Amino acid sequence: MVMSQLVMNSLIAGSIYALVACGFSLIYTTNRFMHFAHGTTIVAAGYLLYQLFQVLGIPFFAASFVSICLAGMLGLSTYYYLYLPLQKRKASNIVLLIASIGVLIFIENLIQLIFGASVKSIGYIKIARGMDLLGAVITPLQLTIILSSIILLGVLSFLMYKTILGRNMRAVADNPELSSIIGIDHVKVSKYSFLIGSYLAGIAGILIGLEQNLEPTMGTSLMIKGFTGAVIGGVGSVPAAALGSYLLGFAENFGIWYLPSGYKDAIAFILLFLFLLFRPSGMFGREKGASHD
Amino acid sequence: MNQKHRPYIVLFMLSLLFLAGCGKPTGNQPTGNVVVEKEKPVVKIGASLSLTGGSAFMGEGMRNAMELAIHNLGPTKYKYELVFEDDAMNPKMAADASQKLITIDHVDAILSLSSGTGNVVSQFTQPNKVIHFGVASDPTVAEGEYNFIHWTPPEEETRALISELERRNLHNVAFISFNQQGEKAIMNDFSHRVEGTEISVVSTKIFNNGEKDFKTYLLQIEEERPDVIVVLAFSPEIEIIMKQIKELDIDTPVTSIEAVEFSEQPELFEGVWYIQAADPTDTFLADYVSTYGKQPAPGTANAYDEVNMIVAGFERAGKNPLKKPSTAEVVAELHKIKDFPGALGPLTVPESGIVLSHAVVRMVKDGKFVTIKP
Repeated sequence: MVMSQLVMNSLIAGSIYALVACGFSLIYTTNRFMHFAHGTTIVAAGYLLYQLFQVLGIPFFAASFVSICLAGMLGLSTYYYLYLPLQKRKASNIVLLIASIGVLIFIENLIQLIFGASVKSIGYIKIARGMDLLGAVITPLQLTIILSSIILLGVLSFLMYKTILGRNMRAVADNPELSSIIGIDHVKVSKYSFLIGSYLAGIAGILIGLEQNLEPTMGTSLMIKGFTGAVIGGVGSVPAAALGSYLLGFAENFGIWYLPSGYKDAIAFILLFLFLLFRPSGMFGREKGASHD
Repeated sequence: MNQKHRPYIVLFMLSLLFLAGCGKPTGNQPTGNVVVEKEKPVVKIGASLSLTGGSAFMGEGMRNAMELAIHNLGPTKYKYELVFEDDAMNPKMAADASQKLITIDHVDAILSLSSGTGNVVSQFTQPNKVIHFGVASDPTVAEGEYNFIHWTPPEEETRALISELERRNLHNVAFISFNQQGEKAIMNDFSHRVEGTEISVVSTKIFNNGEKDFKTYLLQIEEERPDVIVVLAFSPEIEIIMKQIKELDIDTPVTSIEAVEFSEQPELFEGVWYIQAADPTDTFLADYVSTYGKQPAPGTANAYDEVNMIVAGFERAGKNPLKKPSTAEVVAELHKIKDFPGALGPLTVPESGIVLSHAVVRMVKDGKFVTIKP
């Protein structure tokens, strides 16, 4: 019973991190720079849902659909009006990283300015006892988070490896100049990656907002965990990033079972440090210069 | 960026600035920097508060109370200005804030919120002879003649908690607590006081700022079979803990100190008894609610009193209206304060510098906060 619950807690935590990591990793895979503002796209989606559903009374699923669409627009706008102009000026990836941190800080503070600093709750789901599943207790929302994470991982994998868009994304990721020569419009591909990645952020924002409530600065901590999961699994691969996130969820929950409770964040950062030091490509990522399948 | 998009970007930025300017509540609001008359010497009261982050509701409450206190001042010898800095309840930011308030703004006094930041601020104020009032549980914040605390001390809160636990026959206690000095001071004092009694601490789980997943901590606590779980946390963590307790079907009673009445989801606490600092006076409550349209947060009434005590100290110590007294003279006057009419009742500043407020036991009944034991 205890072990079952511990495994279930790990799966739930890993799924939340995977929801963050998938979108982040998709954008990184295609564009080869860290889009840390992905965290605020998640938060913005949650607050948009709050405003549409909780404040304006729009039906939940309609409000969710609109929030996801607007999250996609936010991500696309960030690429089109910030990153693309910088890339046209031959800005390095460090500059783009700093710009993304700037966007993260700006949007977090904008959300706080508009909604205030106090915690917001999306009152769609009544808080009640969870259901018994395989010897553990889990709520329907937590089960939805796990299933969404797995389904989205499957959809993304299909997109990346079985569609023309996915093939183009991988081509741009491998060699932007060569992909341009053979006729792939890398700007168009990047736009699609930001759009799809931000749609994923929108879905993550809605599910995480329902599970954990909303506060303006939650994007930063989500990004840290999502980024850590992506590094552990392999930041250049969406499935690897998701698997790394699940590993992080298990490491944290089993780690604090045996270690003092205050070490939870330390577990994540130690894993991040070790992987960056000894295996920066991650557990399932390819080493630089490895041949394609 | 295309030239044709630039006007839209500029318009968007201007709209944001306009929105920010319109974001404040309207009505009879005191302004941020209140100047009484141009010619009088200026006494600057600074504040290092959590104006952002999870505890921003407390920082904002204290800022509002400070502005209200200045607004309500009658004729004074000196003019009083407020200077605010945000520390997000982060000790490093509090150090930067203190540095700036003292070296650039040249404040005469600083208010702080929390034991973690208060301990940092007190390290700057003591050598620089700046008066410091902290809203903090850790008594070390009041070390040094220039440092004071105005808060319900941990001893008072744990005394009330232990008394209620004994009354309810609850002996095995589990703590789940935010990693902060104030909360640690409460747990240390609790452990010390229950030595030799039937009450014992069977589990202690500490979590860091920003934690959102408490399920494994709660699972571990349940393994120890406590009679009660004491949650030492504020929003948003306390709501998440209560939610996850219900979802995991944990029926062990829960209690808390200070946080229940300031939760965004009071329905989670129906039937929960808890320890609370003394009630603000009806006069202060009415004034604050009519000005700001909402109930004061923890620390709000304390900040109001702190400003008034500082003003009283300057007014009493100042013999020359053209020259403000030294902070050493003001500190001497502060220590003479007895039965000062405050928002939290009559206040006395003892030698220790810790202004005492009493704790009460309350319960959430039908959505209302009811005092069950003064």
